[in-house]
Amino acid sequence: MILPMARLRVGTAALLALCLGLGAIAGCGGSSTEPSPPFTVAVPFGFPELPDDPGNPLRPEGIELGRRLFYEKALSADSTQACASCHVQAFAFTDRGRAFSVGVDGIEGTRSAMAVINPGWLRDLFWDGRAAGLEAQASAPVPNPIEMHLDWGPAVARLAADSGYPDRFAAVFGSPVITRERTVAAIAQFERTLISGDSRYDRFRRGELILTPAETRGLLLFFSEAADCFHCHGEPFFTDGRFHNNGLDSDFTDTGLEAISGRAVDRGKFRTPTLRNIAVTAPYMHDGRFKTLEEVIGHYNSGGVFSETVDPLIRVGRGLKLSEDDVADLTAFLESLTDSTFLTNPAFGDPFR
Amino acid sequence: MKTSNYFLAAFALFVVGCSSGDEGAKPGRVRLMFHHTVAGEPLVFNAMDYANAVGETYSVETLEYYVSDIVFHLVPPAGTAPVAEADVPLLDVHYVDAGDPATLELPGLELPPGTYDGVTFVFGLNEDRNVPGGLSPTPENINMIWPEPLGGGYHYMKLEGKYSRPDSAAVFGYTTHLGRTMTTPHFFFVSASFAPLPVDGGTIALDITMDLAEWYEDPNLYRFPETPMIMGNNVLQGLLQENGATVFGVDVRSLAGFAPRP
Repeated sequence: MILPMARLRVGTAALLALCLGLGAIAGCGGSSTEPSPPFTVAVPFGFPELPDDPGNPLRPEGIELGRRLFYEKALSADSTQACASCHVQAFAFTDRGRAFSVGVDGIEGTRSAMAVINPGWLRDLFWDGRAAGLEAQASAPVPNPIEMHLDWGPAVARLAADSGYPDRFAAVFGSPVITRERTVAAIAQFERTLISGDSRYDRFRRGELILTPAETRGLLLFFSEAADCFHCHGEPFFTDGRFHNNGLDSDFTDTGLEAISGRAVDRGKFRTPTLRNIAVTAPYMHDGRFKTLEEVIGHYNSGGVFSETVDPLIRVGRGLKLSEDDVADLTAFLESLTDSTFLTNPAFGDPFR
Repeated sequence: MKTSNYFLAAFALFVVGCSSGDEGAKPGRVRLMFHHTVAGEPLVFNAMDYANAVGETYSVETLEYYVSDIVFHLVPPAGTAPVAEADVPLLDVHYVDAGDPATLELPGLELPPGTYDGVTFVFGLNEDRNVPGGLSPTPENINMIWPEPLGGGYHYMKLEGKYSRPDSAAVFGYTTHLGRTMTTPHFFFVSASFAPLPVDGGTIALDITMDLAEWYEDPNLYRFPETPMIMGNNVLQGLLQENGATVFGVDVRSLAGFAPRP
């Protein structure tokens, strides 16, 4: 009797939360359009189900609206930049090889544009984890003075004045009212569909191909304690979603997670990036200090440098003792994580072209 | 195996139902709490305050582990023969992150009425559970995955921190990751007996305390500098498994007047 009752309560609570969540995003204006059925994503082999977001369920119209908004330059002060300006599909939604992106005012940022890959499974976004989820993350760049530099008030006014948007918002949210909350909800819906799980490695896991000898040796190194990549970059997302000081510095100008948490034990810790599509997301680290994968592996192979918060997994003072051949094999394996389907999927591309 | 477990559970519940002789007997609640100490003192993270028997100092930065298959042992009703299989399941698998208070207390686990005199659990995961995809794919479980090239399944424990030699101020990382090797599962059972405790409503406390110092020196001395990483090391996994015999303390008692949080 206990379990069914518990399920009933959870189900009722979820339904209530769904109604409240949809109400918060739908806002006023009355419903004039029947929402289409929820959109079900195709979850790659080995991935868990995409977490539900009762407050912002995926719907085809929402995803398409989110895609337009992701590529919408009217969301920047001088209408020259969109989210996609610094998050370019062909580069796994990073900024075309740049260490730091440049905003509409010509100001360079201080951290590398993170890849947008499988974000629907992730939480605590940005290098310092300051955004709990995708909606919070999507809300930040538009008003950021060194990025798009446009307050949300004028931003939504521009969208409302564009005849292409009110009907699309009505189709998603039940009324044509455009708000910041609805705008970022739609962008988040689109971003949840940015799923990468069709690399050579994924096809190997599905039994569809055999990796090359170098890729195989690299795989075995990757998942061993000799190279010890997997503890922070484990399957299926190749990120643990956590924050680590990986031995880059002994002193910090950018304190990372500490600036958000206020805890000294978090000094110099940054979010573990995914290694999916890593071959196309150079340069590497939060500040783009490494230009190649070989440099990255070289850093870990050296053991990095000590600081109080350096992660125990980093072999400071010992190094990994990888040979040149090992580095080449690991690089080959990392390159097998490139998902060309993801990088070229028209559903993720610019709808204005 | 699962069918067998279900059968035993059903049998145990049947025995429980008959044991009290009181049709109105009510289930009780178990408040399960996890505690962590080092040499008897409460664990303090990120401090080089601890030392093993040869003076190697160490800190603790991460402690995550699984406890699974917690069962209470039923006392047979008076006048009936002992039933060895009469274990009443309390909890299948629990992930503990010593740094996350939300994982340290389960306030309202249900226990059928009856009289109990012991409790047993598994440190880690038994072989049925410790397989790829054996646990629900929560972020925590995903991060505990033990790579398939190393045998697959899950880490039983991640205990990480830094150590220093007695004759040096230099500090290095260690990662005591316990789990299966290619040849040996390395999980183990922890059991505790207690005076017969009748359950008819009410709440009992089950407190499990892990003393981390015991992993490193009783009976086998673990030297941090020699092998700071041990995942694929069958010998060291075995030595630490032996040390596990004294790692856990278990306390069970009735909590008069305790009302679990909803």
